[in-house]
Amino acid sequence: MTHSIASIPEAAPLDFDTLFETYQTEALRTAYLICGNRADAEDAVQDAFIQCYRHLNQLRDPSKAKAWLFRILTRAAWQVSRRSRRETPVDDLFAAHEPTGEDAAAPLLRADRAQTVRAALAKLDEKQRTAVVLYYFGDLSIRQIAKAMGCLEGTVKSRLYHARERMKQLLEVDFDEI
Amino acid sequence: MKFDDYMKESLHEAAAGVTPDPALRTRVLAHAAAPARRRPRRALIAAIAVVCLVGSALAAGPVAYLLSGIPRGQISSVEAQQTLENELGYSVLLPETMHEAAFTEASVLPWKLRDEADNTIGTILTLDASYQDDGNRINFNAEQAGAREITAPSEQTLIETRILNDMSVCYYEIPCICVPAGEEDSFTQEERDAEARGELWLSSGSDTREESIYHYAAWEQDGVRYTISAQDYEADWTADDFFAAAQDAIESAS
Repeated sequence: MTHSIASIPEAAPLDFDTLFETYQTEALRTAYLICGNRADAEDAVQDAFIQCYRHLNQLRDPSKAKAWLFRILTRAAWQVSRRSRRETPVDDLFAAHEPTGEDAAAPLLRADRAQTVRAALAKLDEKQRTAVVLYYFGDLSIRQIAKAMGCLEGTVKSRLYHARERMKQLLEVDFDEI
Repeated sequence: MKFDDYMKESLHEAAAGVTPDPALRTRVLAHAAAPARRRPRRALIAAIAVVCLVGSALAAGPVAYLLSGIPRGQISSVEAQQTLENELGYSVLLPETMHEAAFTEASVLPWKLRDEADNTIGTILTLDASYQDDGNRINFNAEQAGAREITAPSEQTLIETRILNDMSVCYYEIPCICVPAGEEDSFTQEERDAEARGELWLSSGSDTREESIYHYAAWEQDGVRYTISAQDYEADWTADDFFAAAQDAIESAS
């Protein structure tokens, strides 16, 4: 399976509509995986794009738009999650699986696997979950993730390492090592 | 299947059915055009903020800056600003509020500048004020511009620069790691290298290994260098908070 992620060409001038149209879906899905539910994800994405709209003129290099957006989005997702967590137990993350048209048509195995990964993801702490989502779903580099999360690259590597170990335990799947 | 492939495929599958609400763009534009809303109340900010603020304000090159006496001219109301300025010997901004945080107290701190041979080579006086926002502490500092040589923080920590009232305000975020006393050996080489480059602050004295972000905004106005800062354990502060606070401080001059 391949996943094509849209991006903004380096030379392209950046306006809000371009940023929004290019990244709205990826941003919402990323926030969904970090927050654990669609309602919080929508709040986070809305907050993030509002900030982007207000401060787009601060972004000097359009080629860094994705890293800039995802840094804002990550903080927004954490803020929304914390507000929400005071009302919703962490164990409930992804608990009410939101069915989609895709799921109904997808092979059962893929859908089950996705649900299992969602459940395991919910058991990671917020920082580890964010690192996993930005790395595996967002296709961000370690350096970009460090920028987005406000930490060192080594910290990102450490979080990914521990998250991988925990996910492997939770998933109970035999993976190819090579 | 390899773990990395499994994760990539599964996460894309897990989020595949999540599509944006067509009204999202309209909502964003409507909110963006409206005045900024009150930010949600934040969780506890630890008292370490004061320590880090002082470290930040006075960390520079090979010269050491040591507190040389007790705080002077302590005030608990901005009405008594003149008391502070008499101690400082120069005028400073002292807003009542900064982005919803209310003034609580201020004093003047005397510092001795010492060279590498521990000779005293000068003294400076700085303003040290604190503001409180529902239990969260924001620090506001001032010193005469040019009173000492300031080592610029790493470019890596400069998040954004905005022009506010014709003044250039820089906003920084510096990751901090604090470990229990006696466990300084647990810092990795990468962390030590990052500290040497000015991209990270390492310290000891906490109960467990703690990671946080030190946020600050800095600018010069009428010959005085100002900083607004706070320590954040939940990455809850944003650049907007600090620029809003700086705007309030800058406009308090008029």
